[in-house]
Amino acid sequence: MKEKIEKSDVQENQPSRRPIYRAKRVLILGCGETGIRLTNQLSDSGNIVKVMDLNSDVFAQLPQRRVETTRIVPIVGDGTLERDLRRAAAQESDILIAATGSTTVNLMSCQIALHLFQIPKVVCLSDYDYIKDVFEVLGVEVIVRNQANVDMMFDYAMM
Amino acid sequence: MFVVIAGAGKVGSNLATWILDAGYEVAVIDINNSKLKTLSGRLGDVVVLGDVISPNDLEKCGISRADIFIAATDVEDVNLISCQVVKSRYDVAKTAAVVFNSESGELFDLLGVDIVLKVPDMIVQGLQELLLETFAVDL
Repeated sequence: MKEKIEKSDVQENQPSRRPIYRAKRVLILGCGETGIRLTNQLSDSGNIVKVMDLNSDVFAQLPQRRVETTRIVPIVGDGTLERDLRRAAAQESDILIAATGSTTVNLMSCQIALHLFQIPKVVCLSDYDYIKDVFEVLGVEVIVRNQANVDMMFDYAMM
Repeated sequence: MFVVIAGAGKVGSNLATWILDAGYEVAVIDINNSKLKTLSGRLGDVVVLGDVISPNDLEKCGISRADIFIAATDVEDVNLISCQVVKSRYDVAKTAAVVFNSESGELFDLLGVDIVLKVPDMIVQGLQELLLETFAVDL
């Protein structure tokens, strides 16, 4: 009888040992100023971050220790190409954040992610507010750059 | 018929010339002033300086009464986004986009661009026809 109680106690306790949040797998396109700050912040809170950029030189600014332990994964590639996104295993991501310098590239990547890879959440950084309503309807969360800051993007990603 | 063309590059300007010659109305929008000046010297007052994804600039060239919108800039993602903006906001019968990467064609179809013109496929097709004619080989 005593044994039984202990067993059920253990079972009851098990869920509370799990972490409250599951670490998310985030794919960030564009390793510019915004991309790097986002990567650092998302990685600080325990997420697994992949960063894609056309230029491999920019990856030198990432925290090297995290790159070595593969908590941050830099990938050289073009975010508007399906095969480059596939190479980055985009279909396994929970969130895609398109933060390159070009609004149109960001929007195109977001829609590839949404429709060809079925990533549940895509966030797009845009220079213009007038396209926001067009693409919000299509399932892309648009953040306008001049009113955006990294904290806001972070909140969007973790929501 | 009124056609709005985005991009005053080689494709856009040749297309505009042809449409004018055929007797229809055309407007060309481009963000690059020097390209526009060359074209307006040739075709007259059919060019508008502006961003092809901005509804304001598109309205300046009369998109709200356009029948066909053709995105023929040399940047593929601009072509896609401008077609989507036009399609969602205005009542055009057809949108067309020039694509330089064959594999992106599928995405353009999926996202509702009516006519997707894949440049590499068209070149290959042309060359195949040429080879068939010249050598009568079965490719």
